[in-house]
Amino acid sequence: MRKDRKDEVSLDNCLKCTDCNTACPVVTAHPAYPGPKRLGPELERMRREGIECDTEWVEYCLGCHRCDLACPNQVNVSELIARAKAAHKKTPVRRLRDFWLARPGLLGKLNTIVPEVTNFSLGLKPVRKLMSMFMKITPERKFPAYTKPDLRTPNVVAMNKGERVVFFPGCFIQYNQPELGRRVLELLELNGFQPEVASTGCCGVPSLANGNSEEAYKRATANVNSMMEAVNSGARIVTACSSCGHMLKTGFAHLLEDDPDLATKAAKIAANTYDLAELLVAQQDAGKFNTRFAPATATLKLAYHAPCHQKSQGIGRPWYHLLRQVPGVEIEDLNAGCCGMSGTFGFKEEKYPVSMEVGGELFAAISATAPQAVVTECATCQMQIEHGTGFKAVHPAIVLLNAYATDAKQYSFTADTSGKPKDDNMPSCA
Amino acid sequence: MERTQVVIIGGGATGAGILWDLSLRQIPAVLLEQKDLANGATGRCHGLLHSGGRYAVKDAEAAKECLEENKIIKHIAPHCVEATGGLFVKCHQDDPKFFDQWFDSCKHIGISTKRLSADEALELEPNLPPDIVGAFTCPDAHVDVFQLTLSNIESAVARGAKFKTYCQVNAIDIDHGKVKGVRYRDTLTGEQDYISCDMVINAAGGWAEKVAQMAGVEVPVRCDKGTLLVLNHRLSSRVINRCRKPGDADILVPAGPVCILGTSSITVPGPEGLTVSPEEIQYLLRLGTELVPALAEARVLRSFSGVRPLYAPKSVSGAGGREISRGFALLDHESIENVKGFVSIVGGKLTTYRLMAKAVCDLVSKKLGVHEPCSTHEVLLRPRRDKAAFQTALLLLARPVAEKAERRLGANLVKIVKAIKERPELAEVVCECEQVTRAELEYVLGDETLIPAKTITDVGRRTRLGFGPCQGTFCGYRAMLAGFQMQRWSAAEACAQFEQYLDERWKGQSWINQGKQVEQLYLSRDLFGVSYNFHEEEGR
Repeated sequence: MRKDRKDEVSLDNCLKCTDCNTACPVVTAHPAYPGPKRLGPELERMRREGIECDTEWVEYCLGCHRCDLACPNQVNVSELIARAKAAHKKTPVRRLRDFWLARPGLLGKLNTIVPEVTNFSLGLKPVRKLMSMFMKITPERKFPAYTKPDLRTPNVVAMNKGERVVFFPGCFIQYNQPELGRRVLELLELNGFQPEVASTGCCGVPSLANGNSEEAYKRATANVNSMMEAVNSGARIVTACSSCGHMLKTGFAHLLEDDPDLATKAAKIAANTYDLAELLVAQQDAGKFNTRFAPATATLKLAYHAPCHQKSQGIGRPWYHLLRQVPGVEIEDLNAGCCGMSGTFGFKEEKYPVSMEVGGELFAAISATAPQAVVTECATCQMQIEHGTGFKAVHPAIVLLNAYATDAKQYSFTADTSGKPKDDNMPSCA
Repeated sequence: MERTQVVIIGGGATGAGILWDLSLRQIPAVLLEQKDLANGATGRCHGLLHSGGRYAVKDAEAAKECLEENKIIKHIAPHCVEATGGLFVKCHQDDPKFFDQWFDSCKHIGISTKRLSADEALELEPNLPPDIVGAFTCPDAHVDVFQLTLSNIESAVARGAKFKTYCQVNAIDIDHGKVKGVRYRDTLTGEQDYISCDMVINAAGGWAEKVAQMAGVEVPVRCDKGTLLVLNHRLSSRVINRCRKPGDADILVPAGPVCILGTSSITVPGPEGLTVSPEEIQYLLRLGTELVPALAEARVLRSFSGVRPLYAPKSVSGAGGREISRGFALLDHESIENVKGFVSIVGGKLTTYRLMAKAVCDLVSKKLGVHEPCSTHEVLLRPRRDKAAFQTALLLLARPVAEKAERRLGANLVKIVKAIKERPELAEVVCECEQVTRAELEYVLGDETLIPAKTITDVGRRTRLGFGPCQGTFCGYRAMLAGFQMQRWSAAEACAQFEQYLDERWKGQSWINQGKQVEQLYLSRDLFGVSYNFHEEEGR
């Protein structure tokens, strides 16, 4: 028997109140799903009794952590399900598929050797048909295009002398959207930071989501070790992907809690990790947020979707807060639940219908709002929204960066800034 | 007027074992139980199938009996036993001389045991304290006391025996020094009735003294209260014993999804009106924590106490509860007090229930001139599992639900499978904590079972409904409604049933001062007491 760990003892906290089920997007969309209460604390008692409880349903947990947030008694519901998922016996085809889906870092490296070839092949109908046949990857979805991974720490000479921050890009920015990564670095510079790019790999969320906790453990260990120097020197860590952020803030601590040394490190990393927008809001609270925006020439109607892993960080809605200040921007918080994509989940052939069912409420809300674009910080939420609604979905950092005036840079709060932005000069869209 | 050959008073494991034994010898018998089966000491123990290790040093005889019976019960009732194995843990604060003495005694008696180093023991049971000296293994096991009792009754009834629950004996009819019959009252309907018989077997456990008085004879029973705590989930996968002279709170038994810590040993005046104090709970937990430190933070679901009905003739009247032998006594009142047809069986323990039944039945057979030998040691208590029904169940139910139902129902699983096929809504899990389906709930309340439940608590003893963390908060009223819809109870009876049920569930939780149970209790009380007005009394 496994030793009682804190989060397993947390199953003792369950009062069977069912709050977790009411928060679960899969339960709402798909009534046959047993729900987090059952798959988590309820069956955990049976598993510890030695009763065979393995069920394919554990694969249907999105890992959105809404159950954890809903629980009034601090049961780590999703953690209990994640363990069951890790112990779940899969069919050989799914095992092969999930092996790759659990390793986006490795996939990224391979697929970006010659990205043009990858993108071309992944776009071919026969290739997608084969992937459906042999890997059970749905042919319904387009794959995100791969780009040469060329995200680097900005040139030292060109850099200001602001506070050092370390940007944790994650796989998607690294291999699919390095351009977004550069925008993030630019935003950080504009707001008085001296950013550098962390030399880290995958955060491990896809490994956990695909039931590979060993791989997740390896990733967590490698990441924690590689970021310790920066954190010890007082630097903060910034994430722009909400799932990476979630992992750094809570996932590492869970994964590494058995090793006292790594656990201490993970706690330190967690305490010093900030979501990009969270950091910018903190900067604003300190009176250091750069508000040198270009005057509005037209209104930009946006809809904001908060990704589940953003919600699980418990930091409010910093992007919504920031974008509302941008001249000309009209932004609505959709607040319409989970998109249903859950990273690699929506790519799986058998889960594709559930994924689309879960996203139904959000799709409807977007169509009703009819924005010019949807903003959301999670790359796979963006993919799902574009797929499910046809509306364009972008990372909020792009909107914010585009809003800055051309001379905004000199208004950043760095040691050698010449002037301060005057708030009363701020252009208004009214 | 009903007529039978033998009346058994007491529906615990012993009484049930006697009914089964007599039915195998084709002696007609009726068992009378004042409440429900396994309601007394049987249903209020650890559920530990002793290997004999606990008594090895002090009482080699009792230990040998346990060892022998341990093997037999594993053979005849595999569906009731989980062969978890056990450890006798050598704690650094205990007497090392006892460790060797224990080991030697076990070798001598024949209890198979192996020495484990501290590391080996911790590898097997990581929740043991890290500073233990080592441990010994032993073949202890967990036995489901409810299933064991019910299986004995069910098998006996299938062979023509009879039993009546909620029937309290109020007189034993003796004419010219010979038993003629038994007068009893159905406590649910209030009706009086009489069974004429040739013999009465007093297997009333803690109530044996009272029953004996009805026959005008003396059976000295010492009621020794033991309090136990139910923990929300398993903290060990083996039975954990403390290797020292038997004392309080030194056994932790993994019992189904929960584990049970116990016990205390306090002499009480009688088997009824037992209470548990918060101090007693704290005391047990404090001692238990020395053996399994995780107990300090674990959630206690409920406390309960039962009495060990120890046989205490004058010679041992001064001894403490733990000093009195765990052996049993068979009293033939014909040879002692010249009351013909009256026999008492007292003392003993759950592990030796079959042996006790055998001893009584051997005597009774001899008196009745029946020459059939005892065969309870070889006849399986239940037919082997119905594999086809289980496979079908897997198509209809989630795996743990099917597995639990199969363990409880055995060959009867096919009945609930059939019911679910006809009415798919019966696949609903009504007790989520213990994975009980509506089909099983309706089965135990219905007419098809040989051992129907008459109250909601009876349903619990048959299915474990309400035995989990919510303690009936979310399943008790479902059972009430099922009973009402099946016309087992009128509306008023169903409500009364539910109030009684809540009282009983709440009682067990009311003094738990550790973990989340207080909140659970208040959720239940606020829901049913305050919101639904199921209890008029305020602030209880």
